[in-house]
Amino acid sequence: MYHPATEEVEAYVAGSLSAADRATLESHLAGCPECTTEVEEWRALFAALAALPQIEPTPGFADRVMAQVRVIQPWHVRVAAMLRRFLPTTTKGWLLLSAILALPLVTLGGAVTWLASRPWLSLGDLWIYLGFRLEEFMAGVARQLAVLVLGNQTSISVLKGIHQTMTSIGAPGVGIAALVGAAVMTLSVWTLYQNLFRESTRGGSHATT
Amino acid sequence: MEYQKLTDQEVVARARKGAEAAYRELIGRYQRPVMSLIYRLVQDRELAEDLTQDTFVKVLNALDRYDPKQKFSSWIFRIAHNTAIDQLRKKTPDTLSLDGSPHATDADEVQSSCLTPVDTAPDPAEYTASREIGREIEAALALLRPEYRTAIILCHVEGRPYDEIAEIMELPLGTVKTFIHRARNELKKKLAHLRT
Repeated sequence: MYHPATEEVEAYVAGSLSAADRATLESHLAGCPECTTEVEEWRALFAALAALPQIEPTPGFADRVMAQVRVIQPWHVRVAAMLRRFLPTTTKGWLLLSAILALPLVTLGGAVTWLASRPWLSLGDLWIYLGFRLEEFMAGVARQLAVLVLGNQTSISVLKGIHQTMTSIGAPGVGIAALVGAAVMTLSVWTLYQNLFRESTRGGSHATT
Repeated sequence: MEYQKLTDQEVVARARKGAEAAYRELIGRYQRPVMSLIYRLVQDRELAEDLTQDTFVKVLNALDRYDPKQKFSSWIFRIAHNTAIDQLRKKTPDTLSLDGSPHATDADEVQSSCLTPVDTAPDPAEYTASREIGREIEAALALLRPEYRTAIILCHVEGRPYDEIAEIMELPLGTVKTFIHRARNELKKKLAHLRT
């Protein structure tokens, strides 16, 4: 009598036989107690293997692992941590930093006040002069940047275009553009603050295993 | 954060953003499968736990180099398998015992070297019978070649498909199928006395 090979019976129990081969084998099994017994033996082995228990490490395993693991820190957390080292931690420190930062402003304010108090120079003249110099300075910086990024010829065309646009939209348009620019700037500063200076949310309620 | 609902890849992505809880979730998911595989390879509970710990430390410290296109389970099982095989090359394994190490010198040592199976049958008679069969299977497994053991455990205990086992063991698919087939046949022969 024909009997299927043991590999075929094993594959049948493992579920890896094709539908056609499975059907052939099943029709054979219906009339062969010997092969049916072999199928049962394979099934018993598969069931016993599947029932093998998983082995549990001793309590505190996760803590022991984590004690040797260095948790990855994203770049913005690392930069924030680095910057935080340079920031004062006490009120006195903050006062000192504020004073250092305020010093140029105080000096400038003092100079402006002194100049404004001179009889030969009015506050209005000074304002016009400073505005003129500031405008000249900003235009110089913009020109240098444009040349650096776009090259000489292209930057001239771009700057001309900007100048024409500003002239055509007039003062209200420039005002609106300035407001939009300020809003974008505020949003950028807020985003930087969120990413660099806000306390990281990691830690806290970790499930221990 | 509800980590249980996330896939391995998603948990790894969060770990890579610095979430310590995600690291602990990965440990929780894989500590038993990894410990079970390593234990059945080295057959020493204390050593298995040390090697399991080494495996997790290696894996978690290398998360920034993990390729998300690869299955996380394949990666961790491969490191676990290699760690255990390296150990086996260094040391002859002890005899397996569900009742503790045969080299234990006092009750505390016996207790500490006992296996801690996760599942137990509710009925005492069933539990005793399943424990007896389990003991026989564990003993038969211990006699297999380590490569056969890894393949059969990943296939039957962890339910991993052949192609993933091939990836874990870094072997051709055909070789893995042969290993599993031979391992099943050896186990069937070694456990034949249970059927008489």
